[in-house]
Amino acid sequence: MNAIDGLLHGLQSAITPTNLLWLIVGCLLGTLVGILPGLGPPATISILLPLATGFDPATGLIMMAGIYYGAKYGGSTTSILLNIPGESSSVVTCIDGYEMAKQGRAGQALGIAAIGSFVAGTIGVIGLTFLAPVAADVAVNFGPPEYSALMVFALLLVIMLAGDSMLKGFIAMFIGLFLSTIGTDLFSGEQRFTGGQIELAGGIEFIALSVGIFAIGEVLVNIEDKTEHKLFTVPSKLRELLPSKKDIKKSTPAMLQGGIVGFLIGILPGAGSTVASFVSYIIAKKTSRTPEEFGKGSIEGVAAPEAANNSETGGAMVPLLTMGIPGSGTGAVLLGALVLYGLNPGPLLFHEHADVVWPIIASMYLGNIALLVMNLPMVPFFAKLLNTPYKVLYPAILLISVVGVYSVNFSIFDVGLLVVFGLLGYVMRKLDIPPAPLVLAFVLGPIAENSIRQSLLLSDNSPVIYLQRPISATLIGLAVVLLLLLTFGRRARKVREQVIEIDA
Amino acid sequence: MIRIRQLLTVVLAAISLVALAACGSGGGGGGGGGKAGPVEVVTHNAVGGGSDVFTRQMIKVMYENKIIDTNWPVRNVPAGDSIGAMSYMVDRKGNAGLIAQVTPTWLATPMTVANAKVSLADLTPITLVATEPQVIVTNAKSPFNSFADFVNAAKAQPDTLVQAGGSSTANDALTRLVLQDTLGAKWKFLSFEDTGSRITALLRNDANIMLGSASDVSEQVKAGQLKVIAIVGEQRLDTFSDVTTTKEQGIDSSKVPVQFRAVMGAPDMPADAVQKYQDDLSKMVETDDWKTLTNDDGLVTQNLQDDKLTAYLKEQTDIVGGLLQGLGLRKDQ
Repeated sequence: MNAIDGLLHGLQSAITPTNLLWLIVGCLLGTLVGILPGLGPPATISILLPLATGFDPATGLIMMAGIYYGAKYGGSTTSILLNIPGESSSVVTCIDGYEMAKQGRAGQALGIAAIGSFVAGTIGVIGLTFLAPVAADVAVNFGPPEYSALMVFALLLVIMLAGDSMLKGFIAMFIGLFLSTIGTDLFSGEQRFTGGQIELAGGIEFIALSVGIFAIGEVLVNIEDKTEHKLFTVPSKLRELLPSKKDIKKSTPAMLQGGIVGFLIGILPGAGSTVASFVSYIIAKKTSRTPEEFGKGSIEGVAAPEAANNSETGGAMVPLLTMGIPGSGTGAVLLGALVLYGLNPGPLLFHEHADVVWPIIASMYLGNIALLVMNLPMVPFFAKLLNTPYKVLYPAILLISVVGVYSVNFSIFDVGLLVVFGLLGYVMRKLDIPPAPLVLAFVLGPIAENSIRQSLLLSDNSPVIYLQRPISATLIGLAVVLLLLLTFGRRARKVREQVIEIDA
Repeated sequence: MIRIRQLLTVVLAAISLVALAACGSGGGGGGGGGKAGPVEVVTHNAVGGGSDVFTRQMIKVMYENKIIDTNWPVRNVPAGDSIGAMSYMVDRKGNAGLIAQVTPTWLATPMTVANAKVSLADLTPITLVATEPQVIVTNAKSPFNSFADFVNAAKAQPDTLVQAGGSSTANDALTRLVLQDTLGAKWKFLSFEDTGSRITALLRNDANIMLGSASDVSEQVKAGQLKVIAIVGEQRLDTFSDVTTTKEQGIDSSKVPVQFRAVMGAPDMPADAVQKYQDDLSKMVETDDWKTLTNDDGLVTQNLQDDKLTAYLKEQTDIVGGLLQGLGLRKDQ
């Protein structure tokens, strides 16, 4: 069956009243859990598994896929409104999204996030439909040396997110890398920096770290400022709450670029969507006509990472459906669901169970449309929430944060971590150290460490392995160029000046 | 005021959703001694992990064959790689409605943690349902057609061939230690966090062999990407019936730790409750659905109970404990 036949056949079987109903239920539930930090798609799908395994496989999987991409749409909402990134791929959205909300442009930010998600989500599914076999090859050929090179490249980009001071970006990144080493070492089985705490054996919970540093830190700083005036000014007219034609036109290149980058990087199991979101942010910044707006509430700075985050859904389905290899937590749950349905996910899934696979892919097109229709009307409502006086808003943020973090592992220890990282976030804001590099380095650290150690084990500690393999050699080359730019570029002089200032 | 109300509505909705989630995953917790009370099954995997899926499959077989009349809820306690799950059980002493699906990880992890407050010995043994013999696979194009071929190559060139696997305390890593010791061969071990990366490492030829369960690799084998070169142990598997065992290839693997799947209850579980679960599981292993499942997943039905189970656990504890000791990872003594 070729792709077009398969897709048409899939659409035909996906468009039944039952399937559509459960698709919408899935999208709705996904949006809700995406909005809340903590309770993510894996937990939601697992709660629904007993119900869903009673369905016919296509229906059940369509609903679960709906939860997956619904959560991606919803994930941007709390990032933009409350500076709470619910997952690692929303961290970058916080940078400009929350700035826009502070300027009273939350509606535009939410609107462009929904539109960007739709455009890029569709690009991702098109990629999945037509490029799956090629893309699967790329994913297989991405081994430890390739991941190491990608991570070196990505960590250099992370510093570029730092804003004015690269030195502070470095500081944030190193704290993040350090925090990521806490836990059980994969290679030796030793506990590192856990202080004998069993709760830390599996590492620090990401949600506790990101919500603490972003949301709690922000609340603490604002409480200290004792702002009596309204934090947010929200226009009352409906029309002013949605992105204008000009906004959309300005963001179109960012959305398309994000869509393509998201799919390409999303194919790689592991850090796909996180890396994709900030790579496309950096590309958008470098190609924008108004790069100075980035970090201060640029609408392109919201469109690009949100787009990348959503087209990743299509990319992440590639290794899952073509090889039976899940690229993320949600992928693993979907894999489990496939097994429970008696469909053994693997290289033969497309051949043996085309009747199930194509309707799932078809449902992703429909889901994107459903989510756009569902989300756009909600935008003014969400944007107006920010009119809430801070006396109500802050306790609400704290409540959502605590409940969200607790609900991940039902662990009080994680809530304690939330407090610690909230204080860290506060101190960092006081010292003007940007939080995004810390959080991203925390996510990338283990992948970088594991893949570097794996590569060196393969090559008996010879670094030449990075240059022997074409993909990793190319990435290392890019990283070197980037490093030279960072060292001898205009901004580097600034860093040197800062260092001199500190020395003096 | 209206806006405050709007906000409150959202917050309330949020809380109720989270509460719903909490109930959904933990709803069957209570129980407390009652025989007919709800049953909850604990696994140390997150949803979608091997143990989680197996637990759900087992419940599905029992439910669909009307051995049990409710679809028992599964509780995932992934914290601390089985320590969290065990603590959850220990905190609910005497609960007749609380059982767990236990794997060798539950034996090994508490040994590697200093001052662990829990160990597998705290739980009430019920039944060792099945063992899951490891299979050894290579890339379909690899020159090795048996594990003996691989061992000979490894002897000729020590420390050049590569086994892809999990963490250094996982079963496949411990198996390598035993085999290297008994065979006098040496090869490298490349740790990956998930099975998917181990398989792609074989496909890329970064690694030469991998040890895993039959269900991990059966699809790749069917697709002609990987081939099975040996079954670890003495018994052939129905799933790959033409593949010889390590014993047949002249390799002694009697000291290899075995991947098992057991069901154990909360500490001090009443004897009548234990009996009831044993009866249910004994019925389960007789059903056709179970036979299909074991065939697909490459499991060997054991149904060990009481003394036999205790003896088996004792033997495995000694094997795993000795290996961890040798690695210097034993922290519980």
